[in-house]
Amino acid sequence: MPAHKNILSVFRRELGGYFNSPLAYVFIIIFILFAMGFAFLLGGFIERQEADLSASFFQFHPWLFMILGPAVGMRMWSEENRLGTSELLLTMPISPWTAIVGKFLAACVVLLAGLVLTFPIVITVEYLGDPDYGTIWAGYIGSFLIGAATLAVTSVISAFTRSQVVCLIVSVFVCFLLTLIGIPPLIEFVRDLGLGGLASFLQGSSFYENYDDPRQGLIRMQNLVYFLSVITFCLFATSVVIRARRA
Amino acid sequence: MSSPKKGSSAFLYSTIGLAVVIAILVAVNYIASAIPGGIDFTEEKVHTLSKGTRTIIKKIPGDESDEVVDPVTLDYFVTRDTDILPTELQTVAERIGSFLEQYAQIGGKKIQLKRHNPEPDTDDEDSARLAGMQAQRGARGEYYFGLKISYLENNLVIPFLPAVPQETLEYEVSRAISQVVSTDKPVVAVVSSYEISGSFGNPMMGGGGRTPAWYFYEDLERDYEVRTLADDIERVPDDIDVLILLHTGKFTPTALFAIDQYVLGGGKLMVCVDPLSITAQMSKSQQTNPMQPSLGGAPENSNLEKILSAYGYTFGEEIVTDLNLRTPIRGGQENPALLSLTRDFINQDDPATSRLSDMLLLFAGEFKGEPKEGINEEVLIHTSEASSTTDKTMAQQSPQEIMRKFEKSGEKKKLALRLTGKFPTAFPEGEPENPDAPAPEEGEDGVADAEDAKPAVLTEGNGEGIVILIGDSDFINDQFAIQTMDFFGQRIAQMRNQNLPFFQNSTEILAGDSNLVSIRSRASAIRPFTRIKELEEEANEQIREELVELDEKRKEAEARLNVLQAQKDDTQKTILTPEQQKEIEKFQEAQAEAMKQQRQLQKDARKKLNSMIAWIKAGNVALTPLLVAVVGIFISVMRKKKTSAR
Repeated sequence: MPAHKNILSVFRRELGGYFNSPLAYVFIIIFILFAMGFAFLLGGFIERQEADLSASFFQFHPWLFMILGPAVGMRMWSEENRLGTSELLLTMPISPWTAIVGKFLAACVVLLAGLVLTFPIVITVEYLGDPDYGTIWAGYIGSFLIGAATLAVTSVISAFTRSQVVCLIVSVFVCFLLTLIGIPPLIEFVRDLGLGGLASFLQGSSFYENYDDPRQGLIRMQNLVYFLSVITFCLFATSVVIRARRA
Repeated sequence: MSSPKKGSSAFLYSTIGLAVVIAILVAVNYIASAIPGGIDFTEEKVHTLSKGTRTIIKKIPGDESDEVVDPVTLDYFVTRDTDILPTELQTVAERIGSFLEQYAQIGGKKIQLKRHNPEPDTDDEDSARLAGMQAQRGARGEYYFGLKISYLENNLVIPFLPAVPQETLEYEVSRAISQVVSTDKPVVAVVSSYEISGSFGNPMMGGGGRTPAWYFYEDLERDYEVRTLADDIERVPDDIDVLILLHTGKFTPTALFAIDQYVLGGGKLMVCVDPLSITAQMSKSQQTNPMQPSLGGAPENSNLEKILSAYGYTFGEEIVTDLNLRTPIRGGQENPALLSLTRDFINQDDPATSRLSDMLLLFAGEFKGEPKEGINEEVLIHTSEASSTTDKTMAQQSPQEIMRKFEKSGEKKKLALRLTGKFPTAFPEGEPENPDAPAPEEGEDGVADAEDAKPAVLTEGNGEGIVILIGDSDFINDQFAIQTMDFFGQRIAQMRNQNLPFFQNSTEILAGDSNLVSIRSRASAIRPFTRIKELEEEANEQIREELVELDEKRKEAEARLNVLQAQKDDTQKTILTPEQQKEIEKFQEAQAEAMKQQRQLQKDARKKLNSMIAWIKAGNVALTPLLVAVVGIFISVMRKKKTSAR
């Protein structure tokens, strides 16, 4: 069977798993509630009086995905490990990476559904003013990339453990670190240690830093390459861990 | 055959394999970070160099294929040591670096970007100092962050780049390139009753300090050769490219004739007239010492009747008000005579005003009439249809009073215009007699020569002329156009609105360089919520009539009360008859009731708007989650039914 067909069948099975259980619905509902709630309550969407989503709406997405990404992705491999089905899956005539990609894509679809269902805010901003749709598109693309990166991180961590709770906690912690390493107080601290080079490296490796340009309507090659690198590395690492477990 | 494949796969999926993948990805990221620019999704392409910049770069002399072309050099000085350069400026430094890289890419051989790293005690630090960069004190030492733009002998310096607002950076850099390349500056002459070029206080009166020049004037001096002319002009010198009349006093017929002839001869003119100058009022009120002799000062209003009427216009003496353009003032009130203009009221198709979206005109006047034959009119700024006019006294009273008496004109009033074409003369009868001019028969030396040198009187324009008319003069007063703030120990001017860009664009259009206009207009395109203001206006409109009616009732009751009080005869100084007492109480109640109802109406209108906003919030937060929950429950019920049926 060609690889893409294998990916597709794993993808379908996983997607069914998400939408046949309350997980996808609960994620989507919580995501929308928080994304919108933050925009209106913390972001001051109305009070700003500006037909713009970058500051009031998209600004909070890294913090949301930091928790909700792992919540969606935690079952990717932990569940299989617990039930022992991961061994079974890998004895099938499909390569591990097709299963990894299939599972990852299915989780991405759940996340995408959450993002798409925030469309009322786009309608609202159009109703209230004259927004720049280019910037909105770039914001959604950036937001999706950051969400997909959190899922990839969760994928590799879920491959290590049988417990979804452990996976959730560790993944949130890692995503939190990756989001946070770009913030000025931390960078300042690292610099105080006399590690200026490391400080710059950390800044460039942060989710938040690489999301800042897309949020404002500019997708740089480095932002795109950064997120794709994180995803590629994490999916590859997942495959290394699974192979090691099987061995 | 399978064993080598298995071996390589075992290597790949090992710790070493993982390390190799990391190394590759880090390398790819490193390369990607060196690629400047990106995909700019914004409508105004705010992250990409504009067409105007490209044209300016193209205009740099020399052929690109020419090996010996003299390039424009951009010396970018930034201390790269991450221990010294403050964290918040590091990303800015990178961004500006890749932004300047775009200039070098587009310019090819015409632009050379040189990066310098002026760390302490290095040659680069010396060259940064020599180039005029300002050393900044950071927490861990001094750093530099500036740009020098040079071409042949000419150079310009931006000593501290972070002080330039990000959205105007392209304009500043492109303007500097355009300036170093161009050999001579256009000449702009300004006639004004304001002290725009600054003044010295009278030391005898305790005003020893120097009043600085207006910001717009200093800004003009950067781009043009600026001259101030007195208002008794006899002839506008030939070398003047742009003549600006900013709230001038009354001109003599000779001066008006000089302006008329200047325009007919192809001169470019900008006129700012004002029905009520706040600037003049403010400077008068500052003259607190009654013993202080009046310095003349600016008149309260200005006009250019004779010339405007020749073009087909009159300038209204009344002040324009507009319900949709009200400006919030102190005490939570909104003044309809202070016009806050958004993009809907500013011509978005004209290079002088395209993409300007935030202007403030104060007690402005309107231009009435249609252009005479041969003249084309382009309205640059106009009001909404909810506009009206009010007299000067009323305009300065409480905004509530203006609102109460507001009657919609239903027309869009013209606040700023650009006229182009062949202008007719305002002096069809010929040159006016100048009583001050020396009589020729006196036989003074040189009179005969002067007569000979006098240019022929023009009766109509001999080419395409441009005249810009603006119905306000306070808009470029520093107090209303800019605010100064302290940034890293430097005083920098920040725009309060886009009044100054409007003025600069207009001058540039007149001076003939429209490339810079297209760059500047990109800056700070604010997109305000227009709907909320409209809804507020609708709500106010609905209750306005009732408010006026109630107001009349209240006033009637008040008048009746006064009459009753006056009816008391001398014998009843303090005691009222029960009938009088009753009647007074009745009217007091009526008055109180009317006021209560007014308050209630305003409260209701506000409540309605707040409730709409609350519904918007609730709809956004709850609508899709509810839908998702319903769909989820529906699917789960269907599935249960299916399984139980089995």
